[in-house]
Amino acid sequence: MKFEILQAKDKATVAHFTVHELSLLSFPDWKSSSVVEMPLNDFAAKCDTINLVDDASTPLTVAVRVRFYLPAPVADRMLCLATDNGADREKASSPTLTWNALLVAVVEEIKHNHVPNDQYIVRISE
Amino acid sequence: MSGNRSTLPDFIATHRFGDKWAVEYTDPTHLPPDKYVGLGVVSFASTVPDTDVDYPILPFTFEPVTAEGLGTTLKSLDDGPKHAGRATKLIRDQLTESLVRVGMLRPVVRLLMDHEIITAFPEILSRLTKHRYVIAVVDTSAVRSGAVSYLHHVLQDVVIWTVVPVFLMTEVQNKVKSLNDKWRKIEDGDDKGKLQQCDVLRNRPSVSCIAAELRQLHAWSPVELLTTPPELLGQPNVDRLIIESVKHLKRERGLHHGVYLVTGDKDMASVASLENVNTLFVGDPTLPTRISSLRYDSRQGAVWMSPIHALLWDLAQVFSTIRFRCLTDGDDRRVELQYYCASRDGFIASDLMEVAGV
Repeated sequence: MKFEILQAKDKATVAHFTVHELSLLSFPDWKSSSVVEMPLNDFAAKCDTINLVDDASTPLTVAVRVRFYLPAPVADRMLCLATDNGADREKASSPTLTWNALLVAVVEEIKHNHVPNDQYIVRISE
Repeated sequence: MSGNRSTLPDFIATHRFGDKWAVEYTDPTHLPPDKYVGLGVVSFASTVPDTDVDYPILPFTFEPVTAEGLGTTLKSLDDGPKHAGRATKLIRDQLTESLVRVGMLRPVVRLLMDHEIITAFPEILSRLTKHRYVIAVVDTSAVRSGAVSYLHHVLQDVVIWTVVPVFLMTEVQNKVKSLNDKWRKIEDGDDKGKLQQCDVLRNRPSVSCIAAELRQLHAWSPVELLTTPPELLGQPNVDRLIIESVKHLKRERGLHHGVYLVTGDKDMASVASLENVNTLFVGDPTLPTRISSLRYDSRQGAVWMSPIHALLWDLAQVFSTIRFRCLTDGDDRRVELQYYCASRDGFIASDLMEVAGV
């Protein structure tokens, strides 16, 4: 999913990035649209309440490679110990996240980076 | 409950959590014996069936105790009606600080340079990365808040050289003594826990969290201890001392770019910027009602995840004893972390806790 952040006053793009693990298709409200555009505050409110696809054939989760917010030696030691206890190192660093949790994390990042929030618009597309 | 000595990596590797848990603390300096106070509720996203082996760390959300809930609990104590308000604010402030240190909350960051105050975070990152290095001269508030660790995480493409003025260590030394004296009195039974003494929650992290942050920085990044310039010896004002130390450092080493004073003190940041010292202010945000352990970083295209273990570890450094209690019906598992323990042997530089579980 591609995220573009636009200034509300002139719709100039101020930032954009892509989160490959997310897709419009994962969200019932957006799956029939190719582009969705709304004020940042509305987008944040929408993400708080959004419903995921509730279809047995569609996975609700996605394995995402994460970085642990730990000092590097602690993270490394922790992964070594987890491996000794039978965990797969690669899997231990790629937990399964719900799309919703990942989307909320992305929204928080946009809100943090674009203040005041009411002066920005978010455009999402595939 | 007697525990085993544990390091943070050991604790992470040997304890796996799912479902819903309560976080509670007790501290004999200001609470009656065996009185536990709730700090919040942790809910794990238990979406994976084989979590036990492959996923030692699961994402979670933390709902901190509300001011109302905390107030009600504390008012029921002997001297509660008089001190509950102050204690409630203090506890929630310390919770906020812990959540920032473990990366679940983003700190408020302002860059004061070239006579302007930059508030937009992408612009701040752009300025800090300009010279590919940052020399961060830190004060106690910056070390305590984990500001340098935060910079290391968000600026992974920049070399960060941390400069710790030696008088910062003197401040820590002064606090260690008073904290140890208080703890000894409690252990000897000469002092009884009164809520009035809850200030210990503000003072303890100035020793425990600063020691932890310095120990970790030393282990994985360049850190320099800066001795006080001879002409500044005897200067009683610590804020003045640190500002002059930054100027002295720049002058002595011919550094024109990339040197920043890092502080959590707004007044010092303001004064330093008026004296042309580039300053990075790192402060605490407002405590939200629900916090995720996941954080997305659009600049690096990375998802950061904070382990629950790191949060419990940090909270134990602040609140002295943390109990993590499963809330699932029929599941009475509990884990307790104790900061003051035989394993630590009184050394603040030791990164050990006593971890007990049933």
